[in-house]
Amino acid sequence: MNDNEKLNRAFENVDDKFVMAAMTPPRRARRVWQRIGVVAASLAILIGAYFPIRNAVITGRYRDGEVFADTEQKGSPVIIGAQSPSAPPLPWADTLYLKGEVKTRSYEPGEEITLLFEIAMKNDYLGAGDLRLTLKASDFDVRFEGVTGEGNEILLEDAAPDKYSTAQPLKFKAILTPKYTEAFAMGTISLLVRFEPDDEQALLDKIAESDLPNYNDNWQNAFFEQSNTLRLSLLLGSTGLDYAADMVELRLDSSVRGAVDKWEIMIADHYKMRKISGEELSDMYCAWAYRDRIYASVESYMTVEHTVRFSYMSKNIRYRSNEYVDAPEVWELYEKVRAFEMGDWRDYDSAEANAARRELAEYILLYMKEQGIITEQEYEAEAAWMAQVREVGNFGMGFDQNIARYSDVIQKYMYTH
Amino acid sequence: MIQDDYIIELFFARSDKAIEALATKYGEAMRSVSYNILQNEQDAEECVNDAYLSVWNVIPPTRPNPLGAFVCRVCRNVSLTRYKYNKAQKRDGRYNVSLEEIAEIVPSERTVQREIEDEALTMVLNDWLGGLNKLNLYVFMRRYWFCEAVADIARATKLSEAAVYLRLDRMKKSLAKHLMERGILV
Repeated sequence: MNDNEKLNRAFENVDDKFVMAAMTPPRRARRVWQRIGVVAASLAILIGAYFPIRNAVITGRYRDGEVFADTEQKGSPVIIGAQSPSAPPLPWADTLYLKGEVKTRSYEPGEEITLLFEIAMKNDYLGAGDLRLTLKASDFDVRFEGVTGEGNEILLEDAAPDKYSTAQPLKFKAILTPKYTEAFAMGTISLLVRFEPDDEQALLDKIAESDLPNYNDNWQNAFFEQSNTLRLSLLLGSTGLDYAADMVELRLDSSVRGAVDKWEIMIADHYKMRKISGEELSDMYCAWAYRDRIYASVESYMTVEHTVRFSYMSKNIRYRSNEYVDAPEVWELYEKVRAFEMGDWRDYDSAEANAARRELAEYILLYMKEQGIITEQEYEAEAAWMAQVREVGNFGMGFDQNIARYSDVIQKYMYTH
Repeated sequence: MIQDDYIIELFFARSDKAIEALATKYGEAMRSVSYNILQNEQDAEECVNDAYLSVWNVIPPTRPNPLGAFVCRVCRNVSLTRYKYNKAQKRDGRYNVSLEEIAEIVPSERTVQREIEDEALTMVLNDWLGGLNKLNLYVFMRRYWFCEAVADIARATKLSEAAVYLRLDRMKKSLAKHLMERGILV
């Protein structure tokens, strides 16, 4: 366990009185702050980014590992633009110019993806300082060309005020090598840019003197941190790579947004445009959602011991019982699984927890055969599949907000038994 | 408002009304905790239901006090388990933000003492939290324990979002200093 996990775990176990104190906001007396002080160690500058959705590649039907391109612009570049039209009136807006480009075409599994970047300072508002770029690329290895990077980070020293101007932007490449080559591995890229001023106090004083929005008597100093991210969601299909980029939202928020499931958006859009039927939507969704996972879960009838109903979800068999049955053996196995949930949640990935979940899934599969829900042949095939599957869980698949509106349609056609 | 003792007695009696009473009093708080972590309504609802079952299974014999903190903690743990599973499928929630911001408390040139026991570290944290005023305590816990968005905290406290950020930043630095003074960070 690393240090931060230790700190985080300790924080989770703090006294209950602090948890209770945070359940209701306190009543506040109005205070007036007069002193402006320095807090920040660095200031993240705003990146305006606009992505033209029309350049996104839409994937059409998906059947059993084959991907058919419905609308595709082979080789056309995706431009991640320069400045946001919706930028708030902040002093440092439009200080940075950032442009990124990547080709929208089918890629072979394992093929490298090249992102081209240009970066420049448009004015000297921020004063002298360095730019730090962090390219977070889950499921990709990153290397740079044209700049010296350390891991997935680049530090452009003395970047401002005039080393990189729009007349002479810095151009460099980020080359991504996918770590996964099997079907439908999902990759997400985000780029975070931070400005680190040489004279932090001078910059903060300058910001404090400017006409800032949201100023009120609660200001303690003029520092706030802004950051923005570019996001590219990439989907590796079995016969190629497909992706779309996401418009970046401009917010006063230093957090990195969560990943957007572009595949779900694509099939949802296709259903909405009536290019696919409800049954096809469900089929595509389940093929993707259960491509390499099995879920077996149990729900108890709380007031009657051992009374359960259960579900078993995989790419081949998706079943959910309608009625509660008396199944003490199922319940006993489920209790073993639940023991890990009641304890430290970090034990979820332990060998014991995994073994318990797999045992439960195997038993439920056997139970379905014995109850005549599935045939002997189906049982044999599914058992062979389960032996290959890496992940056996005990939660059903939820629906992200992108596709949640169609969850009824998906569930209507989802079950195979 | 239903009393916690009455709800606990319903659980002890294995009454059908126990879950309903619990949901009436704490359901919203539990949903909020779960949704803040998972950012998905359906997932959050499933986790809250799972949390109800977990509470049903431990009461009796336990008599948690305070009940609210107990059920929120159960719900949080269930949601974190689900979060971890979702994360494996690249479905990020808000919890990763909370983790990263807590990580920022430890300056890059420092580390947490390897030998310190979890319990001892929690005691130090409790000591620091006890020194916060009500508003700062609320802001800090809502952000890092309840994983609430800054915008929501700002709305609840009638502070500006920037003011919330400022408070969080100062408190993180104060906590780092507190840990260093006690030799936790080396």
